[in-house]
Order: sequence, then C-alpha cells, then structure tokens
Amino acid sequence: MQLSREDLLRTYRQMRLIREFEERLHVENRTGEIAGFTHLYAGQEAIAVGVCENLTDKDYIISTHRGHGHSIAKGCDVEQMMLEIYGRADGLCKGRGGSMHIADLTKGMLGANGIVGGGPPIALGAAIACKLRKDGSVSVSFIGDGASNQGTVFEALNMAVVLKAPKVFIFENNGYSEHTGASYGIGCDDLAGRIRGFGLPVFEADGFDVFSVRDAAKAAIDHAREGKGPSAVLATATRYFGHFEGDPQLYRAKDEVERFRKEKDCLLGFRKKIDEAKLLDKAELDGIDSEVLALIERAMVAAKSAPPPPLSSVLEDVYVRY
Amino acid sequence: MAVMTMREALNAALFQEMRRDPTVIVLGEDVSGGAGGTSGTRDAAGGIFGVTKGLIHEFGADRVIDTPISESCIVGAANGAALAGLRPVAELMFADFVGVSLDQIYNQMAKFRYMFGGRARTPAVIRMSMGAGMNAAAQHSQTVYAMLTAIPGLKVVVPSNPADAKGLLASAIRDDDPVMFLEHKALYSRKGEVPDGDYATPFGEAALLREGEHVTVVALARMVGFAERAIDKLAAEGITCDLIDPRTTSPLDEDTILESVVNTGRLVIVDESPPRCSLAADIAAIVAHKGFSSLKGPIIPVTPPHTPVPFARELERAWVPSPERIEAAIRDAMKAG
Amino acid sequence: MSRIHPVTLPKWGLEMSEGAIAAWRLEEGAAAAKGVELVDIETEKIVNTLEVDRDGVLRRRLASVGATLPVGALIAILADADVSEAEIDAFIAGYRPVNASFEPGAEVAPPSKQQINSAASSASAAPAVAEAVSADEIKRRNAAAHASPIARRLADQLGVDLSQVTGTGKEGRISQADVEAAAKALGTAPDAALPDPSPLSEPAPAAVPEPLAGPAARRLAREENVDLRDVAPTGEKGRIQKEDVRRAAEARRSGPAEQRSELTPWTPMRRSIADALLRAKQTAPHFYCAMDISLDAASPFIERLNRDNGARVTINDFFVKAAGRALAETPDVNIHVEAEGVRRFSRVDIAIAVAIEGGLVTPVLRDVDGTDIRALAACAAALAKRARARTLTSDDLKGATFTVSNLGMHGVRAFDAIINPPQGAILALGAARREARETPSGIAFGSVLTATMSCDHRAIDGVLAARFLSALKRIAEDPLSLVL
Repeated sequence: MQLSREDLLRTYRQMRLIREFEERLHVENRTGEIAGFTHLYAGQEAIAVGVCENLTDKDYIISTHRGHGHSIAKGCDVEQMMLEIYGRADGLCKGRGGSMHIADLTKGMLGANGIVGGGPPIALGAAIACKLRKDGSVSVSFIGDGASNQGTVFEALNMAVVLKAPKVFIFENNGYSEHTGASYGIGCDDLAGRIRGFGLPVFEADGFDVFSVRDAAKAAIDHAREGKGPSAVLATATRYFGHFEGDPQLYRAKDEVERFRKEKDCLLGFRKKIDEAKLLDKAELDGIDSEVLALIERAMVAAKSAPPPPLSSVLEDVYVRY
Repeated sequence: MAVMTMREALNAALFQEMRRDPTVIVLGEDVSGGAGGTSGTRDAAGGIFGVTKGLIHEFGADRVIDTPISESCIVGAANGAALAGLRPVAELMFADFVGVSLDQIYNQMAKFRYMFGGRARTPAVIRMSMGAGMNAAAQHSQTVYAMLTAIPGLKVVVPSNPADAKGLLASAIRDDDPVMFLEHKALYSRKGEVPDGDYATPFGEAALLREGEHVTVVALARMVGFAERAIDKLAAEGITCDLIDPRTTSPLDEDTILESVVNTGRLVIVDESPPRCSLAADIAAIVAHKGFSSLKGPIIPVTPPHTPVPFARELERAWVPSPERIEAAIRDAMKAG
Repeated sequence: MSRIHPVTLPKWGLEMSEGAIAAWRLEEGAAAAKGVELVDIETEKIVNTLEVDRDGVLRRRLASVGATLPVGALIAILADADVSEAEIDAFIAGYRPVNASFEPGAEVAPPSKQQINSAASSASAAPAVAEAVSADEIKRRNAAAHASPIARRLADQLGVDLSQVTGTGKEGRISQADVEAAAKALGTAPDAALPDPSPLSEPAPAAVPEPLAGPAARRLAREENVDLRDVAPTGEKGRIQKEDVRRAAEARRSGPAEQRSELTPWTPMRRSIADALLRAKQTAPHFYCAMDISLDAASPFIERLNRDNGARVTINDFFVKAAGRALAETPDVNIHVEAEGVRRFSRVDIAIAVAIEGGLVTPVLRDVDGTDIRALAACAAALAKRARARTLTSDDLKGATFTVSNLGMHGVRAFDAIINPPQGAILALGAARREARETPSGIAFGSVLTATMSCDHRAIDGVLAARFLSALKRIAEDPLSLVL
C-alpha cells in the first residue's frame, strides 16, 4: 500500500502519543493520585494505530479494559482522557467512568469495557446501524486472546455472519489473559482457523509492525465496507507492563519485556524501515517526539490540578429523563 | 374504541411506531420466523407469542431481524444499535432469559449513560414474556421485574391490560433510556377496549382503577385483574378500596400510592414475585418511610411463597396469589383501626 | 519541572495503602540521577526499592527508618542545589498529600434532590379564580389535568378546577395536597377529620411479660450469665440497654485489680505472616512424626570440620545437609502439593527459618544435596545476615521444596512446625540433650536431639515419613557419608 508523507507522520505520531501516554501513566501511577484499575497498552501500539488509520469518525469501535491505545488511535482528546483517568469533572466521561470506561460517541468510540467479551455483541449492533444507514461505515471490536474464548464472542461471530453485518473483529493476542499464557487458554493451535470456521475471512498480521497491521486491517475493513459481511484480523504483539498497574508479573520471564523492547518494538521498527527507505527526515520524527512529550506534560499538569466533579453530579445522568 | 387482545394491541403499537420512525428495528429469535426453512415461508412465527406478526412484510428483513439463539448477543446488539442511533426493540421470548443476557443488561446498557458522563443514549427496548399460570415451570415463569427494578439506569414496564400495553410500548420505543418491557404471558389473550389512533401512555403515572375509602390495594400485571375480582365482591358488603396499578415499576408513582394511603390508612400489595426484595417489599418500605403516620395497621403483602415456580397445575394454582387470598388480605387489613 | 520535586510513598499494586521505610540508600545532599536507588520500602515480606525518577539533589529525607506511612505521604524532597532552605520549608509546610485511603473519610451524605433542583418548589398553590363553571365542565377539565388520580378524585368531589391549580410535584404534577390547599383558598375545604376514636379494648397483657431488650443487651446478658429479669431497665418503655446489663454484671462481681490493655497494630509483615500461617494450617492436613537422633558421631565430625578447614558449620547446617541427602534418597518427600496433584522436584532446595526483628523469613539454600557442607554453611550464614539487614530479594525466598526450622538454641526439647505451602513437609529440630542409654557394656550417656517432621497427609503417608526420618537418622549418625 502506498502511504503519503502525511500518513507516515500521523501514524508515527499516534503510536508515539500512545506510548508516551502509557509510559507517563506508569510513572505517575506510583503517586497514589490515580484511583482504581489502570491497564496499560504500551507495546501494542501498532495494532490500534494500524487498524484505526483505516477508519473515520463515522465508523465505530469498541474497546476493552486496556483501552487507552484504541481511544487515542480513534481520535479521543488526550487531555480529556487524562482528566478522566484522574476522575475530574471535565474528563471525557465527567469523571464517572475512569480508565476502564473511556468513551466518546462523537468519535465513534463506544467505550472501553470492563467486561471481557462484552464488546463484540455491542459492536455488532452498531454494525446493524451502519448497514441500515447504507453509508459504507463499519463497526470494529477489539478483543484480546482472553476474550477470544468467551461465548459472547462466538455468538457475535456467528450472528455477524448470519446478518452479513459490516463488522470487523480484531483479535489482539498479547500472549497473556491476565496472568495466564494465551497458549494455555486457547484450546486449539490455530486461532485463525477457529475464527474462519465461523464463516468469515481472517487476515493475519504482525502486531509489532504497523505496516503489516495496516494492510491486514485495510483488507478486512474494505471487505466489510463493500457489503461482503464481517471479517477478522488476528495480530500478535506483547504488552510491556503488567495486566494492571501493580501486577508483579510473576508469570513472565525476567528479561522477556526487555528483549521485546530491544528486538521487536513497533516504534523502533518504524524508524528503522523509514530510515532504510529514506522516506522521512529523522529530525521530523524527533520533532514529533518532543511535541508529544510536551502535549502529555500539559495534559498531566491539567489533570493534576483540575477540580473533581461536584458532589451533586453523583445523581446526574442515570437517565436521559426520569 | 376497538376491542382487542393485548397481543393485538402490542402488535398495533409496533406497527404504529415502525411507521412513525424509520430508526425503529425489531430483533430476536423467530420475530418473523421461517428463515432457512424448507417451506420458503417468512413470518412463520411472528414472535413466539405472535406479537411481531406481519411486521416483516411491511418493513423487510433489514428492520425485522431474525437472530440465532444468542440472548447475550441479542441484547448486546440492541445496545450497540441504540448507541449508534437506532431504536431497537429486542425480544427475549421469556423474561427468565434475562439470566442468560444479564451482563449486557446489568453491566452494559443500564450503565452506559452514567459511566460515559451523560454523553450517550441507549434507547433500546427489551420485550419479554413473564409470569406464572401457564404451567411453564420454573425456568419459564418468573416475573423478574423486581430484579430489573433494582438496577439503576433501567426503566421497567408491567402493563395489565391491552390499552395500557399499546400506549406504554409506544412510550417505551420513544423513550431515550433503556426500557425493560414485561408482558405477562397469561394476559396476551385478555381482551379490552383500546383507544383508536396514535397515543402514548406516560411512564411513572399510576392508574386508579377502583375508588374506595377503606383499603388501598396496589397490584401489578396479572394481579390487577385478580384484585378487581376481590374488590368488586367486597364492595357488595360495603368495604370499598382504591385499586392502584403502577403500570411502571421504574419510575414508580409513589405519590399516588402515598396519597391513597393518607385517605385509607390501610395498604394491601399484590405482587406475583417471591416476597424477599420484591416490589411488595419495596412499596411497603416506601410507605413505611413516607406514609407511616397515615397507617392504621400493618402493611399486608400478598405474594407467592419464596420458592421457584412449581410445574404441576395444583401446585402452581396454590403458588400464584388468588382472588380469594387477596380478599382475605383486605379483610385482614380491615381489622386495623 | 518545577524546581522542587516531592517524593511520596509509592503505590505498588492495587491494594497497597501503606508501607514502612526500611532503609535509605542516599544521604541528604547527595546528587541523584534518574534511576538511582533512593529508599527501600517494606510492604509485606518483601522489600522494594524506590528509584529516583528525575535528576536533582536529595535535599530532605522526611521519614525515618521504621516509620509506617500511608501511600502518598511525603518522604523526601528533590530539588536543585540553588533552591533555598526556606523555599523547601515553605513547600513542605504547604504540601497536601493525596488521600489514597480505602477507608471512608469524613462521611459525606449523598446530595439531596433539593440540592440539585435548587429551584425547590414552594408548596403554596395559587387560589383558583372563582368563576361560574358547572361541575361537569370542571370534571371535564380535571380529566385533562396533569394530576395524580387521587388528586383528580378529590378535586371532582370539592369542585376544584385543576386548570387553575399550580402543581408542586414533578413537572408541575398536581398532588392531593395541592388540591386541599386550593380548596382551602376557595373555602370548600372539608372539615378537619375528627381524631380517631381510641380502640375499644386494649390487648390483654401477657401473663409474664418478657423483659424488653435489644439483641446486643441479650447477647451481653448471655455472655455475662445475667438473668434479664434481674436487670433494672433505663431505656424507653422499660427497655433494657446494654449498659444496664453491664451494671448488673458489675454489681455481681467483687472488683479485682483494674485490667488494662493496649493494642499493638499488625505491621504489614506480621499481617502477611499471620495470613500465610492461617492458610497453611487450615488447608494442609498436618500429621507429625518424631525421631530421636544420636549426636555422638555428628558433634566430633562438626568440630573436626571447623578445626581443620576454618569452616563455620553449625549443628543446624549439618542437619540441613543431612536432610538434603535424605530427601535425595526419598524423593517423594521433596515435593510441592498442588491443586492438580503432587509435583516432584529433581533438586533439593531447602528453606531455613530465620528470626528477624518483628517476624520470620525463610530464605532458600539451593541444591543442598549437590553442595559441599562447608559452602552450604557459608551460604546459610550470608542469607541469615541479609535477612536481618532486610536486603533479601523475592528470588531468595522462592521455590523451596522443604524447610528446616530449629529452636534447639533456646532449649526447646521438641516442637511441631507449620508447613510452608506448597511444600509437603517441614523438619523441626529440638535441643541436644544428654541421655542415659543402655549399651552392651552398661549404662552410658550420649547426646541426642528430637527431630519432628510435620507432613501434609494429602501427599505423604506415615510410612513415607518414617522412611525419610530413618534415612535422616542413618545419615546423621554416620556423617562421613556426607563428605565421602
């Protein structure tokens, strides 16, 4: 696939933005200011970005408990996300959702979701709406290797095929369902084959390589856009941090993450490819790095000093009208 | 005014709303039926109780969607379609299958708006048949509305007659919040007068079906008809009652119940749910809290025993509150003050 | 970055709400670069090290070793060298830590509906304008009004025109009270209801009235063996209060000297030890076997090792080594008991129990059977030293297949230890004692100690335990096999 300079710069910036967002949260999480569960996406950036680069605001995605990457890739405002994670009044969800429920319907982001396997049926419903609107829009669900064994996912795969819905299933295998290896939880050796068995095409990708994911996702999304029914993308990557912040990760080899960071990192890989092909100036990418760091610093300062939601808001928004 | 069954009234509401608004869709198992069959017939079922009959012929398979047997996914798909701007009416066949799809109801649709900071709407309706009295046994006879009423974020509708069923279903479809619509399966064939033309019955407004001065009787769904029989019999002896049908349990018209209790000082609540955490317990708690000074005696609930629904005819008849038990409860209430 | 950077007690993991300062790694005034180790913080059995996350000078240490502090507490100040002491003082004085506690703080009642609808409706209804309207017309109007059915009925009865009444309910819904107010204004209010006549008959009092008392008072009465009928009530309606029961019990007692007590709160380490022991004792069905082992050969053997090699082998090291050999001979004891079955290990890794200030840790000696006894002794001494200095890492504490615990130095004759799950057994050593024994040449005195083995009966049967103890006895009483 031919990518323009703008495409390349935007792809790099999105990945860098997710990475620095998560790296910063990992440090800040120690201070105790962030309440509750935080699950970081660092290491898997190529998947979220490679998929969402093929989408517009008219398309829907639904995410998982590890949702920051998908939210940023779909265009959610980073500062409002940060405010939400800190539980502030002006957060994306007015401080009522937190890290695990970031959503922005105006961007077609139907929410991070705390229930493993809760997303695909919902994304299928959005796909029914896309189909009825006849505007070529699609609906995408991200799930991990853990959710790939949930009955809800099997139901959604089958129903999407039955209804010929424009729905794209992204399977992100990061190697671990919480604290258990994916190879243990998935009973078959051939996950792609299992998904194909439901009657939809599966496009496999290297989840460390944004170009590979982009190509696979484009094929899958085009298939759905053209009214040929649902499709799936299967991508493998790793997460750099624990299942949640504070997870001692006793299930992982000591040097595993270090090795991945050195040998497979999606950002290093991107720069290497760009360098070899003499596509962009290194200074341009360095400029993006510092711009992103400044943006996150601003968001962090804003989040730390922003006011909490007013107490009265605890009663708001249970209903549209009651 | 036309006389029709509750089944026909609900069907009329679906036709009315689907014509009115192209974003209304219907989905569920066998809502049309016949898909993939060897006869080539569509609309082979029209819903397991015939409520969705005929819709596919007018609105087509894109808006009247037959699904596999996947309750989680049916409700989940209704959730997503609603978030994406449609007004889905999903059918669950039996209210008991709330158990199968509970995550999508309890953790998803009920919480979207609140947890997304008021920036989402989920105008989905989940229709289901509920209730005992047809020997459908333990897994196809539960009322379920008490559990659903306990979930903030849901609205819950329990019509007792055809006119209300039509008006309330129209309101449910037009409502911007998720609505659980519970149709008592023993009432589908109940006939009643239904006003002509488009109308919608508001949520949170109880109906006052009998007026009296001695006892306030609150009854829900099928129990309303049973209470009418008991009340009409006692009226001949000079004992008169207010009969209140809340029609929606969430929102609940507390004012009407409390005002009636101010006038009568006595309260009987008839609820076809096992007593613990039932609507009877909930309404009793509200009145004990807000209307205590009006009460002349204890609040008397009339409910089944705290057991699953039995199968055998004799057992089920004994299990469901009867007009005789309601009559006895009203007489008990009269002993106070 | 602002010029002054606070360092706070970190949050490591979901449930961490406090930690204790174990050791400072950096002196005040030292320059710190990102990644430098700053302070050791004890959470449970394990000590974690907090690293500096930016460059600067460590200007203040604000927590002393041993202090237990909540997450978010200020423990140090990093700042550039040119920041004045006064600025730092002001920063510390104004610092407000994050409240990361899981405990309910100042109880805040949830906001009321009134707070939200600041436009609280006033309950005065405007009087209806008197105009000549027929009763039927009023009924027709009332049918269309936004009113509760009860209010509508009352308005019809009283001839109140609801189209002229302002409702105070939700969205202007007219309530019964609104109709009554409007009727009063119109002069059509019903007479005030007569007070209820008193009931014709009081219920007959029960023959022997059961004393009135709440559950707390009843429970205390049971505990103190007090008959409630002997208690003078002070509560409303003659209800017996808990205090009344206490007074009755006090009156019965002649007072011994006053009892005073103080509570020592659990430290994180003590709490985690308590939890682990409770789990172990509740989940593993323990049984015990004791064996007397003669030290007549072991004592001179150890003395000679230490004299000729400059080694520092203790009786404990000797028994760890002997247990290692015995485990190699009975591998069915060198196990972990797991949910799915019993896991046998090829290598013998023995944990030794080391008492430290405020608790107990069990560092692990690796490959005991394959390691020379002198090297083993040196290794054990180093581990014990690091345990007391609180510098053990989680790697030092993981993966033992067996444990040896020893109270001999305190003169304990024999004791039963609690197994460390998932291990299958633990060996408890008592003190060496002199005992008279019958020998072919008459009565002779010899040294002997009692070794008690606790076993998890799910995986180890009595005969297997006996086999292990016999092997241990044979090896310990013929120690040359350990060096040959």
